Amino acid sequence: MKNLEKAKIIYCENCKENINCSYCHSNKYYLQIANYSIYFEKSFSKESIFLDNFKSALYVIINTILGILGLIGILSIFYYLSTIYSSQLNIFSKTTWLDSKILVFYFGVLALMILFYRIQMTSNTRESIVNLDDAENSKHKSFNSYNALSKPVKKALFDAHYLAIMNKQSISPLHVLYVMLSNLDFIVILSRLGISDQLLRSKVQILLNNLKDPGSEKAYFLDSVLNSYYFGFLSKSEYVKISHLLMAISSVDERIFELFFDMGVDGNQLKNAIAWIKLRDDMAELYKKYRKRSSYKPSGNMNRSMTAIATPLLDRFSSDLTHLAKFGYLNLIVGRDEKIDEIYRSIETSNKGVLLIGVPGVGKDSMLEGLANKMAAEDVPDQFKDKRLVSLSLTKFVSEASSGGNVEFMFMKIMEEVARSGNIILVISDIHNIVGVVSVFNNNIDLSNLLADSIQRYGIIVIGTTSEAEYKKYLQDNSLISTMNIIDLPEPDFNDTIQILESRSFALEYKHKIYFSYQAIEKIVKLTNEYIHTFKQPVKAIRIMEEVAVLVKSQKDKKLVTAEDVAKLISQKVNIPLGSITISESEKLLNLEKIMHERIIGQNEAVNMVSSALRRARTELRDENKPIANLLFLGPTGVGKTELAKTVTQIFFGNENNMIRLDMSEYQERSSIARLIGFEGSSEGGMLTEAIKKNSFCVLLLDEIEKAHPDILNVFLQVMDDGRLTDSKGETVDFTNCIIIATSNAGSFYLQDKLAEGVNLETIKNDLIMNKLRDNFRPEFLNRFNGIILFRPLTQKEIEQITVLMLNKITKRLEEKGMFFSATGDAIKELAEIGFSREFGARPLARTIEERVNNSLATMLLTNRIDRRDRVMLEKGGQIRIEKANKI
Amino acid sequence: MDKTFFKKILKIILIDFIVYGILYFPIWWYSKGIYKALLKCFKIFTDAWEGLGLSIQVKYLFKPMYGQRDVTGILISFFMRLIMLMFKLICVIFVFVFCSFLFISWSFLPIIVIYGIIVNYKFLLQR
Repeated sequence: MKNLEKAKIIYCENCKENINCSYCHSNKYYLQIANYSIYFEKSFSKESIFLDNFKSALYVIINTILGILGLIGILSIFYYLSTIYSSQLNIFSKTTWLDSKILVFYFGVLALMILFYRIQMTSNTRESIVNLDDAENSKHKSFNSYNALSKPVKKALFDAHYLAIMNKQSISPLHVLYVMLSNLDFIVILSRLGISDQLLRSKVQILLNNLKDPGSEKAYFLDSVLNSYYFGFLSKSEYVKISHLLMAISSVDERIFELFFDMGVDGNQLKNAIAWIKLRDDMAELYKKYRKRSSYKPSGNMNRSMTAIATPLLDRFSSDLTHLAKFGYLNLIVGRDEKIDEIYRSIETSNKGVLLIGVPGVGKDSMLEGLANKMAAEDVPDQFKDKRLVSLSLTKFVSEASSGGNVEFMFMKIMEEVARSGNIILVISDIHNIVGVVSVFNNNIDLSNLLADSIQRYGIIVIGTTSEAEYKKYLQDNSLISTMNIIDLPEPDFNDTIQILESRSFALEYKHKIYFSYQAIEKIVKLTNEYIHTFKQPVKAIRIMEEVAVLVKSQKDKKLVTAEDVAKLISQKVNIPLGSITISESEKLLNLEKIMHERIIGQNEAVNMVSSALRRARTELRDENKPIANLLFLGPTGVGKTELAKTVTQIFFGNENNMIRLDMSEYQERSSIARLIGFEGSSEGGMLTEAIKKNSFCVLLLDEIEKAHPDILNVFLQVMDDGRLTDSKGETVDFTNCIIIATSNAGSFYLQDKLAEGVNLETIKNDLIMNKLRDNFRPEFLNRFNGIILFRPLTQKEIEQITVLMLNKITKRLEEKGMFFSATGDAIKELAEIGFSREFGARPLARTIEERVNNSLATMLLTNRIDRRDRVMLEKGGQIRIEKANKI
Repeated sequence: MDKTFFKKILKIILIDFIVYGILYFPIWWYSKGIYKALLKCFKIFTDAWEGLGLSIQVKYLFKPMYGQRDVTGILISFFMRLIMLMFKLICVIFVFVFCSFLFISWSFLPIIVIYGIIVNYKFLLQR
């Protein structure tokens, strides 16, 4: 359980409720913020509530009277003006303006002036929450936190007291929570957290019936109010808002925290949901500010100083981002201010351009959109003021210019336009594409050199973007790099990604008329981090967010996007179960052994161990930085090792094809590591790493692992330990969603011999691990397995059961043709005896059935000896008897 | 209901409504109120200044327009900018006059109103 960190409220011991106490003002408790002490003073007695209500009623009555007087005054002047007009009085005569109606008008104006004054005065009675700078740098002062409460908070406190008085109880934070349920902001927070306000109300009601002693309840209440001030102070808010009060009561009162926790919300989630509401307000303010300030920005190519020139050629191949920003087409961005400041600094301190390097999806273009918004609002350093951010489309330029065969000439023309215009900051997305572009028929230098030259000669400001891989491949050794400063854009962390999604949520919610719960947003980030590796954050999360919005919209009568919706969508995408476990699924999980035994005969220990691993994985109790399970299957050939691996794939990943099978006998040389992870310097990846990148939800089956080179075993040692592997291209491949199963025949003869001697299986296993396997595997390698599972040789009875399973397949195939197949007990026994070998286990069985049953059946089918509805019976000696069906 | 309660009611009516609600009004009007009015007028003026881009016009007075760096271009630019500057200056002056009018109105409004009331009242008495 994670609660919010609250401030420590100090019990004022020295003042003895002295009215002149400079800390608590005789209120017993206070909050210390640097040199300021904050106390809470407000009487909520029956009498005070009455007086307050009386005061506010009187306030409204007087203001209404003043307003009416003002209106009468204005009407009277209009009436008088019409009289002057109709009676054609001389408006220049002094006596014309002396009249009872004029007197009424003057009174009306006076009333309006007083009304204006009164409204201004009441809006000034609130004090803002103190700020840290003042608190640290001034002498000791004390403030009454009541003065910094916003209107809804004051109302909540009044209502809470009123409720407590009505219930004849002492005030407690629970009363505050109860009355807050009628506040709109609070209901928004609750719905973001997926909490039903009615359910919460009924639960609070129950708690209200079991209050503690009045003294401690009152202390809780004071602690809550002072802490609401503290949370307001932490979030640099001007006043204490409902959200701060909510944070305070849930951090002070354990009962309220547990109430939320019981409904699936912990402290961090509560804090983030509240931050989301704040973000909404901040973004609305930012949007207004941008719209207002960008109205000064010229909408054409010209700057305000009119020094720019027309740039017809550039305009053909580019889009003006500041222009789009001016009209509000670009997204507002959050959490990238530091990086934008880095761009300013970089350009201001050197005459170089900027190269933004970040993996695809990390938000390079969004950052440029953020810069464009700031430029449109002129909220930028001087060097960026009165300028346009123009994005050159390389693809458009190259495709059009190359057809004329004069790419270099046109490029230089564009650069000249940019230079002469002087009000352009040029953006080139995926700037690596410029390297190597030359006209087909000319042996000219490529565009990257021309760009480098233009930056140096004309001082053009260029902002380019590229990815790390492309940078290494094309740009690292290019002359262009000497003209640009590099700024790395890392992938945003968990909380930053949540904030980015929250900032994007408003537009989506408006568009699709749905709304996201906080848990849904959190789930998107969590699951995309874990299961989607083709893109980086925040793009992969944003895409899922958009998809889930559309998905929920398409469902009738559904408006709330929940974590469950997100889990369902991602689960469909990656093809593994992710949502909360349904009853049928939990039944399936609890009966995994039984389900597996439908395919696997015997091998109870192996089946039990694998089932436990799968259950751990599904209930998310496993270590998420390691593969789901690392298992070593030991045993002779033909005992069901591979079959069990296939069964696991089928059950956990939905399809047997989600298995990557590596025959380790092909990796006996050290050099074969390159086949697994790719050759150094080659653009092609390794067999293993590429397969996992393509489908990371799979069973990785390493057949005959004992045959692999020890260095290859070291590679897998790392995979099993860290759940990841770096390929030859430097990309990290994630193995945390794999089940690694290694099979080995090592020690098989020993096992068979010892079993024949009647030694216990557990003893054999221990001896194998401690002694015999040491020849093949290092102890640290064996230690990495979650389970080493010994498959014992099959008994005659088990072979018979396997025979039945295999014959069942034939039954099924014939049923599809409308024929019925069965085998007598003797026939099964005979097949099992022929198909079993001590050396190869059940492996020859399939071939035996093929030869003795399938071949005969094929011949009969081809000669039309079997018709639909006929019964085919396999008897001892491989005889096939046909019971003809009655003719219809 | 005891005595102190009625005292409190009386205090609300007297202090909150008579003293702070009405009597304090002229003092506020010529202290905090006038300061606020001054700030507001100043804001209107600076917004207009920024909106018309006057600082930019002055800063770039000698810089040729549209990148025309030949002699004719420079000359035409200079005179064009001068004309624009003058036009914008007139606009700004107009805004300044408007703001000043607003501020003066604020300053004299109570006096005018009281004067108007007295004069009209006297006139009505005379009738």
